[in-house]
Amino acid sequence: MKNPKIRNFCIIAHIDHGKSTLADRLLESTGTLTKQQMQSQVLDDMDLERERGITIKSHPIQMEYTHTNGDEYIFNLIDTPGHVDFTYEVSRSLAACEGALLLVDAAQGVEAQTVSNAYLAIDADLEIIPVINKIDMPNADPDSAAEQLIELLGCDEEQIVQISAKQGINIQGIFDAVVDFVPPPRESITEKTRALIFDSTFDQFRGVVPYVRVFDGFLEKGMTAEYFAKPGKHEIVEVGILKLKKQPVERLDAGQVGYVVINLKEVSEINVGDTMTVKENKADEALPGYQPIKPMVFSGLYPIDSRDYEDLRVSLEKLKLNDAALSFEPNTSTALGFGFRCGFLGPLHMEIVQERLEREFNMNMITTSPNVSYKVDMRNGDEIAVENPSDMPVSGDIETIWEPYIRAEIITPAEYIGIIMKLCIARRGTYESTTYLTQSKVQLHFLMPLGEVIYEFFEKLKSTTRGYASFDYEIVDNRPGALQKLDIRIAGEIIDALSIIVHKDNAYKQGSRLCKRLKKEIHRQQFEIAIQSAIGAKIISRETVKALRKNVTAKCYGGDISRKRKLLEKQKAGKKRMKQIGSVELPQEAFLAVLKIDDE
Amino acid sequence: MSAGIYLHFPFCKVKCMYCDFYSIPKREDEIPKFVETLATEISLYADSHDINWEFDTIFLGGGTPSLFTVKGLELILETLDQKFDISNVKEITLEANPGEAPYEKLKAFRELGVNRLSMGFQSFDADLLTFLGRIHNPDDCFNTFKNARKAGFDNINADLIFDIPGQSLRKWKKDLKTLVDLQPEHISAYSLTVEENTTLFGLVKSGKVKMPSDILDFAMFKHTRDFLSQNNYKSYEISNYCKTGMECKHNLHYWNLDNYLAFGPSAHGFNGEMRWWNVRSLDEYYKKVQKNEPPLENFEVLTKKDNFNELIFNGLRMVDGIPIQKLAKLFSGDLDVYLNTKVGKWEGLKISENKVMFNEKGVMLADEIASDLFID
Repeated sequence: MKNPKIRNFCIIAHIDHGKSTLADRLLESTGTLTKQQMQSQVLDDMDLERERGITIKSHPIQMEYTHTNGDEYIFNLIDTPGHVDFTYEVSRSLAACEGALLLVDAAQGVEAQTVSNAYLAIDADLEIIPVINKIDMPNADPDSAAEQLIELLGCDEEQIVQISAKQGINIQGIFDAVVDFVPPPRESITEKTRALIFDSTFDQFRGVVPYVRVFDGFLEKGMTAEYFAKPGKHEIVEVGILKLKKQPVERLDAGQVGYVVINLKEVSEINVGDTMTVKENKADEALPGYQPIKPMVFSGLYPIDSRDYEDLRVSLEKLKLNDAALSFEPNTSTALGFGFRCGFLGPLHMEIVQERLEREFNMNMITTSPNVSYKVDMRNGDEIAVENPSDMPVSGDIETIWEPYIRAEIITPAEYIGIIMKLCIARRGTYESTTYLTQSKVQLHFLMPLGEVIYEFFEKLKSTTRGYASFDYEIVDNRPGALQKLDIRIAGEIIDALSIIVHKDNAYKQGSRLCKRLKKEIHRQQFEIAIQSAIGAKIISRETVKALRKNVTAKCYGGDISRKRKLLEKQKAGKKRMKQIGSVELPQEAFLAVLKIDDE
Repeated sequence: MSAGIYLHFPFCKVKCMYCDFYSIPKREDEIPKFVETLATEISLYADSHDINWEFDTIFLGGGTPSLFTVKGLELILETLDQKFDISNVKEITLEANPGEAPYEKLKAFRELGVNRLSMGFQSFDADLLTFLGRIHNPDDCFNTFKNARKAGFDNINADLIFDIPGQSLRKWKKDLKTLVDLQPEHISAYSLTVEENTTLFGLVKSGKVKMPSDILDFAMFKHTRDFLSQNNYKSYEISNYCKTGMECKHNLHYWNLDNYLAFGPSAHGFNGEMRWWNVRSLDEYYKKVQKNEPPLENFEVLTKKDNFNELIFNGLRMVDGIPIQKLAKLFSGDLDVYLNTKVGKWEGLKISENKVMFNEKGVMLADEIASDLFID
């Protein structure tokens, strides 16, 4: 069936360039949402998303639009996760569209995510509509932004739509461009049903609800959904479109975007990017582009109080319902007891999960420093994957250790090139190329080990460039590295959760810095505490936390009691976040000390 | 249960640089007005509360209560006598500064019923006294002590301070020896504490004054405990030492969490369930009492948890520790298991004869261990 009046598109932008504001304005201008409804919708968002200005979950929404010539259109606006770890998810959302509004802040111009999103949109063969936003701002420089867009996309100046989403300036320009330039959905190329699962949500009552874009055939109630990457078969109990709320419809035809209720409880039974077909009209071949989710960064999560293990498991499961990219499995650390080894798409994803566990689920836990997955070729010919540094075999058994590399894309004012070079090279980066976007703005490429980027690289990049540089990356491949396991012994005991994999050239420096850092984090206790770093049996550095000899209030009379009690209660509360290991109390910060050793 | 009465006399000739008690210099001409107001506060309180506690101690602290006029003190003691049953009071302590308590006054105080004198010697070293901002000299200490004895005081406490910047271990040993030679019945030996909102705090924070090292502080404290115990002063509380039977009964009320009433600005009272405290401003204090209002700043109702935690850190400060039975009333769960785990963890903690207490090592880490024993 032909759907000439449907337009499926998304908005892609760097953080804070005004994506949500533009989306809000489109919804408002088409009468999809009133101002009031918009308010409540905003309030429903996760705190974390609003604080960080990033979208973690995408929400497609359908709008009805009457064009200036009287033609009626259905617009499906497909939101994309706006963050660097979710490249694959973004690519799936893009695959559900025919066009993309590439939004650029008139003052900031092109940034790293603008570029990577543009590439993804080009890869997905989308019609790109360049948009310059915030033209009303006093520091707006639309000419420079336009120059950068032309350089980036090779577009004509006339193609660029200049707007202010906030002030509602030239929203009509967007509608015109969508109508005129975003192609209608292609016609079915087969009778067999094929729909791309580009996202899913979890509903307490209806379970996992996939969002789909139907490419071929149709979906309707009563059919049995099947998949290509996963073996499940589920009866479709409802199909519908997404407006402010889910709105059931008879069927979803090719070209349409909507949701499917299949009463599925386990989020792991479907994969984003997979193709949904139906038993009644089964396709032979999946839509192209599917990749299984592959966690790139790992970290251990352990409850401080071992009795909270079960709570932590339940919390992780609940999180996973809304975050299919999160993976976890039980793990036992000799130092930290029972906990979980969790896999994340990237460092930011990891941070978000950890923060949500603490804020939304009130978990009191220790998170170990993150690491990447290493591929290890053993002398005996075996090949193993090491996702936890403490599992690294002894060096004598290892032939080669392979580590994942990324291509980092950094866009920065030219004055920071030197600083960024230094930062990236210190983290074992190899410089690849420089492109001048304008006279004062450059695009840098580095090849870097992912393992070096997960240790506060963003923070460092931001602080050294006063927030001006932007960063994005793509995973390239695995490369061999001269890597070693560095162990930390506290009071003689190896603390497995503190082991890290380091480059041979940095081992001594890292070891001694880590000991120094740990000395700062570990408070004095009733015994002297030795902190040592070691490669195998060889101790390479040592620090000592001296014993606490005296801590006693001198005077305690009637007027002191209340204040003193509160003081000691505070002291007690401070120690609650500590983990008792043997006779030593280790604060949570100790387990993240490795992240901070660059600060010295 | 026996109980105490605390009276706070806020005037001082000068403010010492380390002192964080509520005290105000240069307003001594207001003493008569203050005494009137204090008497009014006592009456107001007594008239609006039904207190039938067994009072056995009165403590006149400050400030410098030796600046009371004889008449003024007489008025206060008479007011207390009219308003409360103080017939069983065994101990009336008054704090006196060396050089500010002439013989005649001491004699008159003694005749009014004051039977325990607490003297703020702080040091016998002229330089250290100057550093601390004290206006007396070492001779004043000896003279006042002699006068007190002559006036009939047979229960005298003297305060000494260690861990003063510039104080060597040798100087401290000498001070202690000098004091022991005087043979007071009671000694309070404190480590100098840098309290917020004091001149000392500012000096230390800005780096102008450096506090002695942890090791020196530890060595002085250890010497204090060893030396005084060798000289038959029992350490019945962390900073307090006495000859047999000469404990300060009033201070024991604090550590035993007994009841006490409190009058005067900044004074803290306790009735077993609630702590309350008066405003820390003389002017506010006048204003409220003149309007027949209680001069309260605030109060706090204690939960079972608060009671347990207070019992822990106060009880453990005393040499005999805490009867486990007393803790059990405030603890839900298996207290034996709880305490045994803690005893296993801390070398400084022990259980003996159904009491939990510190050994010498524990005394040194009192705050560290006590907070670990807190419940939440």
